[in-house]
Amino acid sequence: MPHRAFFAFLMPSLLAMVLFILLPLFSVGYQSLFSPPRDIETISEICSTNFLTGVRSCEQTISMEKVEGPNVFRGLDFFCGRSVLACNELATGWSENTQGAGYFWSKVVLNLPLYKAMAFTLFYTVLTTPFILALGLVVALVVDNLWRPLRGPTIFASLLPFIVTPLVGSLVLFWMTDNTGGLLYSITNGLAFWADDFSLRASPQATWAVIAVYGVWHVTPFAFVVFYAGLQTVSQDQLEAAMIDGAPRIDRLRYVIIPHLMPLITFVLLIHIMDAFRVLEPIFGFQAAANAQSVSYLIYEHLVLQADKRYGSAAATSVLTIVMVFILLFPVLVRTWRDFRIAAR
Amino acid sequence: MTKRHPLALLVLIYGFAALWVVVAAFPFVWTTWGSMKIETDFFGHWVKNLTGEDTLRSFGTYFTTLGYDSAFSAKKQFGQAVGNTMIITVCTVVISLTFGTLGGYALARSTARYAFVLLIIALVFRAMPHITLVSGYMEPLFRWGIWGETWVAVIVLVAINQPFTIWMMRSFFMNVPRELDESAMIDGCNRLQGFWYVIMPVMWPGVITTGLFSFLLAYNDFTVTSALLSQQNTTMIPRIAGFLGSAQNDGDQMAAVAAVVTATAPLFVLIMVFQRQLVSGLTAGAVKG
Repeated sequence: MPHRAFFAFLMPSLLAMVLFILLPLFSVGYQSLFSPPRDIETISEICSTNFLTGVRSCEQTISMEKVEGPNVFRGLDFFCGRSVLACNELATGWSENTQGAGYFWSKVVLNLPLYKAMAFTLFYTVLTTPFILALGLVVALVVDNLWRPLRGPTIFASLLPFIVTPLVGSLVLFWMTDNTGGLLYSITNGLAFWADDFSLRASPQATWAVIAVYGVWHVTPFAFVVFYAGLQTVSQDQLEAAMIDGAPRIDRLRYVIIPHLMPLITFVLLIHIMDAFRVLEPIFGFQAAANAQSVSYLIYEHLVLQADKRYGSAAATSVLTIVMVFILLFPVLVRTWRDFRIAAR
Repeated sequence: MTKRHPLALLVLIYGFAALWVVVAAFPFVWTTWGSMKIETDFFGHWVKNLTGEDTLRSFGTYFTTLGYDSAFSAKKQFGQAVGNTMIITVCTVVISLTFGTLGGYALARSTARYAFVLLIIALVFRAMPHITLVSGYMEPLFRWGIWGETWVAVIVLVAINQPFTIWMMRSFFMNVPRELDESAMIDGCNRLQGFWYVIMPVMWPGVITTGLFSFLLAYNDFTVTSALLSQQNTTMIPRIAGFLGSAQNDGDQMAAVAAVVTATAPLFVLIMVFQRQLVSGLTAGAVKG
C-alpha cells in the first residue's frame, strides 16, 4: 500500500489516538513532576493593649494567600509522597525498626496505600489465576462433550458474568450474599460454616477473598470461550493415534489437548494479569474500600472521590502503573514484533 | 474422536454443566425476581424473596414496581441516565467503527515497518488501564471549562477504544485476500472505491462483531464516564454507583436493584441475538494473535 493511501486511511484513527491518548499521556507525565504553586499560609499577628489592665496581648490569624503563577517543578515530591512510594515513611520506618524485616514488612510497608494496593493486586492475581484457568478448561471440556442442542444455552448462560458490567455483576453477587438473611449466608450457615455474625466485610481477608471469588466468576467465561474455540482445532488424528496407543482419557488431556491449548493459556494468563491492575468497580460493588484498595482505586480516589483533587499523586501513581504494565507486556511485544518480521519476509 | 463415555463420566459432565449454568446465571434471575419485591423481602430472609411475603401484605400482590418507580422518579432520574447512555453508546460505536474500519484496512494492507511500529504502540495503549489516563483528561478539561460535556466523553471513549478496534478490524481484514483489492484496482477502481464497493461487502460480519465489542466497551464503561461527566450528563453505571451512596441514607435500596436490572436487560438481549459473533470476537484476538 502506498504511504499516502496508508496515512489517508489511518488518519482519523491516528489523530484520535495522538490527541486523546498520547497527549494525555504526556500530560500525566507532566503532572507527576509539575504542579501549580501552592497557596501560601500567611500568619499575621494582631496585638492590642487592654486599656483597663494595660496588658498587651497578641492574637495570631492564619490566612491562605492564593498564589498565581507558572507551574513549579516538584522533582520526585509526588512520587515520594506518602500515598505513592512513601520514601520518607519507608526510611524512618526502617531506621526506627528494631523488630526485624518481617515486622517492617507487615507493619510499615503494608500499611502504606500503594504497597497495600500492590499486595492486593498480587494476591488477587495469584489466587484467581489457577482457578480461572482450571475452571475455564473444565467448562470448555464439559461443554464440548454436551449433547449439541444444549451447548448454545450453556454458552449463553456462561457469557453473562463476563459481558455484564463489573459493577452490576459485583452488586448482584453482593446482594445475594452479604446480609444475614441472604441466600448464600443461610445455606452455609445451615451447614455451620460461618459464625452467626459473619459479614463479608468484617475483615480484610474476607473482603479480599470475596473479590477474588468475584474475579473467578467474572473471568472464567472468557477463559472458557477461548479454550472452547481452541478445542475445536485439536488435531483429531493425534487424538485417534493416542487412543489406538491405549492412552487413557487423562493422558490424552495431558499430552495432546493441553499442549495444543498452551498458547491460549498464556494469552488468557497475560490478559488476566494486566486486568488485575484495572480492578475498580467490584470495590464499589462490594463496598470494600475500607479493606481492599486496588491500584486503580487509589488513582480514582485521588481524582474523583477527593473534593480537593490530587492531580500530582494520581499522575505519579498512573506513571508507575503504566511502567509496571509495560514491563509485564514486554515479552509479548518482542514476540509480536518477531512474528511481524517473519510474516513480512 | 468418538464421544462415547462411560455412564459415570456422563453423569459428571451433565452434573457439572448444570452446576456451572446455575452459578453463572442464577444471580441474575434472583435479582430480577427480587427487583419486583419490596426491600424487606429482597434484603430479608431468602425465603421471603421467593414468596414475596411482605410485598403481598403491603400491596396485596406478589409483585410491585415500587423499585422501578423510585429509580425513574423525578428525584432519582434514572430515565435521564438511560437516555444519556443511549446517546453516548450509539455515537461512540458509529465513530469508533468508521475510524477503526479505515485504520484497520490500512494496517492490514501495509507491509511497511512503520505500520508494525504503530500496531505495537497501539498494543501498549490497549494494555494501559483506562484510569491511568484520566488525570491527563481531567486537568485540561477543567482548565478549558469543557469538563462534563457529553461530546467530550464520546471523543474520549472513541479514542481510548481505537487501539482495540483497529487490532480487531485488522485481524478481520487479514482474512480478506489481497487479490480482491488488486482485481478491483485492475478493473479501474481507485483505493477508496475498491475499499467501499469490493472489500466492505464481504466485511460486514467483522464490522458487526467489532461493533458489538465497541458497544460493550462504551456501555459498560465506569472509569471514563464517572470521572468525566457531570451529574446530569452521566450514564447508567455511574448513576447506579451514585445510588449506592445515597441508598443507605434514604432507605431506598430497591431503586438501585431496579436500576441494575434495567441496565442488564439490554445486555441479555444482546447476548441472545449475537451470541455467535461474541464468541467469534472473543476468540479472534486469541487465535489469530
